[in-house]
Amino acid sequence: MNAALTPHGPGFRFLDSFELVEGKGVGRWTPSEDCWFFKDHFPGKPLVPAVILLEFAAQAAGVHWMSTEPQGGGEVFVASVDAFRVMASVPPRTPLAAGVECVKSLGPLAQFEVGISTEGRPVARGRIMLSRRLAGEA
Amino acid sequence: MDAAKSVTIDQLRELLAENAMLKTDASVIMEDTPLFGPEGLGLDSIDALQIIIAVEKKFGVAIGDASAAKDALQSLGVLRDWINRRLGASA
Repeated sequence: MNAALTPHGPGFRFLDSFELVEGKGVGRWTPSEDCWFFKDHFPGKPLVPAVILLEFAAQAAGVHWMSTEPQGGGEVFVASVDAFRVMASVPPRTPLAAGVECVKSLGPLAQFEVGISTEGRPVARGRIMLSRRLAGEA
Repeated sequence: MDAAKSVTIDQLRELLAENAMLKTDASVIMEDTPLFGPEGLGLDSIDALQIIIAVEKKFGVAIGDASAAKDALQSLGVLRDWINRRLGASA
């Protein structure tokens, strides 16, 4: 079972490890064939759903933000997603790396450029904005 | 920077259209229309950060903190003047 790098329950943790390299974050995750979503996505042809790839990158970005700017505290939520493209399908046991770089943080919001790859080959990329408060909260 | 290279309202309308969730056509946004609040365009904090990042990329002018953002992002006219002052251009 993955270590608890984020506050998620065990079924929704998509980070095996995280490290900071020269200011950029790298989250790693190798989805086990036991992951709950493979049974139905798709029967007989298991692939990691695109939304889970997005969540993997968002979790890496969240850990990056909490590591580099812990003074904001609190929980981190996805606020927006832009220009997210998926370039390759991901079967079980594919070693994934999510590179995350903070473009800008301002108060309770931060935007990250994210790029997911496997062994140097691109899988997905895009921009994710995270918030330290939910939309609509004062 | 000379006046010919100063930022224009039309450039900012285009930037807004590309980076904010507008509920109206950018071409009808006036210089003094408030960007936030119910009496204006009703943009939110996510739009604000998108605009700040776009301004930094397009014009090379950093809006470094929440106080500067509050000053600069009142309306397109205020934002134009704010950017042009930092570029050394006439508004």
